[in-house]
Amino acid sequence: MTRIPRADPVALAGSALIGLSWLLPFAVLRENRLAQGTRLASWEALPPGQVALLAAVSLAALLLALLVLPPTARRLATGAAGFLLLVGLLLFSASAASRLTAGRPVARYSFGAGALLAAFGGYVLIRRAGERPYAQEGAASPRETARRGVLLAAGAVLLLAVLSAADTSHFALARELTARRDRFLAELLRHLLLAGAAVGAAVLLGVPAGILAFRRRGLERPLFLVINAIQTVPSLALFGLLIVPLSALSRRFPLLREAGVSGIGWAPALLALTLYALLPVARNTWIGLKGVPPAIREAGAGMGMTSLQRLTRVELPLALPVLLGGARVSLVQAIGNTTVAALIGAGGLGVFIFQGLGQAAPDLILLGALPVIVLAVLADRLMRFLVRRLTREGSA
Amino acid sequence: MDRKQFVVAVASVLLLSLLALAPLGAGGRREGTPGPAAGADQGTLGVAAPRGAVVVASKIDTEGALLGQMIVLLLKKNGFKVTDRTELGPTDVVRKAITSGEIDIYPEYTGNGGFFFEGTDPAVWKDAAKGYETVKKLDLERNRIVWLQPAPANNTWAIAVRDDVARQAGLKSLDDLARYVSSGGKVKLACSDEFTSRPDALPAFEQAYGFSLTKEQLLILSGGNTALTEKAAAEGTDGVNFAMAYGTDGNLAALKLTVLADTRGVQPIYEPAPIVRQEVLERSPQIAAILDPVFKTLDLVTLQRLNAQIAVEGRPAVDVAREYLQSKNLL
Repeated sequence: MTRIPRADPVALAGSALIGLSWLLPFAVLRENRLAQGTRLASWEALPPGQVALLAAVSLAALLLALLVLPPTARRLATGAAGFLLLVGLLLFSASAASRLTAGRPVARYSFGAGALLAAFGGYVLIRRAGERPYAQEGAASPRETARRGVLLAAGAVLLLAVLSAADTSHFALARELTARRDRFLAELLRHLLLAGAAVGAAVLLGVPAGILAFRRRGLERPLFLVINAIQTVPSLALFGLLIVPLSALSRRFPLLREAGVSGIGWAPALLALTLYALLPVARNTWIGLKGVPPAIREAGAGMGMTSLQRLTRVELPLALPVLLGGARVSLVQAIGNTTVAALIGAGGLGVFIFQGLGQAAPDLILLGALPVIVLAVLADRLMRFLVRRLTREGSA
Repeated sequence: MDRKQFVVAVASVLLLSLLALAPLGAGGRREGTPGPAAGADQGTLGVAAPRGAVVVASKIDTEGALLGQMIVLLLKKNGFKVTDRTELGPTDVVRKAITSGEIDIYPEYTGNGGFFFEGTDPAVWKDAAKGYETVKKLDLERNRIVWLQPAPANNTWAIAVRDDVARQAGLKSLDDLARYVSSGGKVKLACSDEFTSRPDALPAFEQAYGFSLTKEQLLILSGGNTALTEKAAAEGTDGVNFAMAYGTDGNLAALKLTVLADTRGVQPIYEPAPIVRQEVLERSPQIAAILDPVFKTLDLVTLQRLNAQIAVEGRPAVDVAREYLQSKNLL
């Protein structure tokens, strides 16, 4: 018999964050892009009715988390409160932004720490609603999985609908985006291409390297010594170091120059990113192969398989989950590393971060940094999903 | 690790570095031979680039973006096939890019000649005309780079003070600052490493005006970015009330800061001018005639105003550049 806890600790934590958020500023209003902001509490930024609504939802979430309720019902109720809070925060902030910056095109409205903390608390509640109470441990039934999927999709659609219905154009971040929409899309694409190509190249190089290290014991240490050593070079330094040899190469061979290879731009960036992406791929390939039980390997040999057959039919398929796990780490890491590539003219989202640093404009820095975080999280999720699909076991 | 493995490791590292350095050595030798442009010429012509293909770059700062976009717009308008590499990176990256022929044109500051060419007389850079002539001559001789018409705006190092402090203490010039410091006025100056260590920056101010700031009176931000130092002063972070600034910074008015006048002319003159690779200019000599009239119009107040539209209002540099050029009937 499992014990039913009086309060749900996770839901309680989420509600506590929402409660704490009332102590922090709800919004920051700045006269212009660089001026120091004025912090506004929610009752200074919002009309009383909206404040009361937000307060009521916050209180409800706290009470629901504390009350003795059946776990599933409690999770759904606190999740709904979290969702309502998110929608309210978004809608009310949007109207506050347009009201407070009306007639002042240079003024900026941004979320305060309080609004952000409350949104995070709401997210925690929603996430908790998506988890299954441990009283029902065991594999989820297909029906349950489907129900969760439908709920998740409905929530996402609703939130997106609210987002598109709300007039978000007055948020500081939206101002930065509309000022450079085309550039943003171009740099986003460039960022993805650079990171993706680097990981692709790293897989092409790293998997053979891992196999080689596994098959030839003598090569194991020297190979990893080199790959590890590359990893320790600071990224900015590696980008900088590649400028001179690559530009000399491209001047020497017109064919390379024609292909767009030069000391600045995508060529040194791709090269450096590939070198960084090499370690997780090669290392995990090697670990995956090492993890194949000797008995299975011997069984393959006993069946008369050649060394190559054993590799492709036995060892690599068994090593695949670990190998793909390496590619996942590489990809997430490459998405982060690509930001630095902006400093050698390779573009990517780092452009906005460095422009923002140069102008001391926090909104612009966020315009570059936030998508990088989102991309990294999405890439991680996508790769996990693919690994599960490809290996069924999902052991990576 | 046993000895054999160690030998293999060392050998592979050596091999890798050899691979990386081989083209470097080749490049070095080629630069030393008398006709380095011939090979590069073949390269570009061999690619069947249209005659008017130009790679425009700039530094990754507000003014770099502004001037770079002006050059891009003007050259495009005149039928050049322009590759836009503006906001490429910090000074050393852009400089390396033009000397290695990766880019063809970018705006640089005359006073930086004292930095690029060591051993020149520091006094030369404090005179706008002499500094320009010197850097023009040296860069052409040593790097085959041509300096075009500079803008009559001095984007030099300066010290800015909070408006309220300036009003209270009656600070207008650096002479006033010296008086203020010696009478025990409260000073906390935000500045870069370079500003305190380069002999032509803060030390030159201190010597000429007869004051000296202690370590406690300085807040050093490595990286040397005036946007950050000015912001620190505007917000009074850590009690900062003075900031290192540049003459053409557009943020100053918005941040409620005033520049203290350099009445004794201590600072080198930093006038922005487009600089072009000689090879490109010979191929398309009309570039000079296109850019010169525009840079002539960019005085200090104009640049401050345009920079402010980008930095303070958050408008895209290309819009600000286009609007200005159109308002002057230059586009």
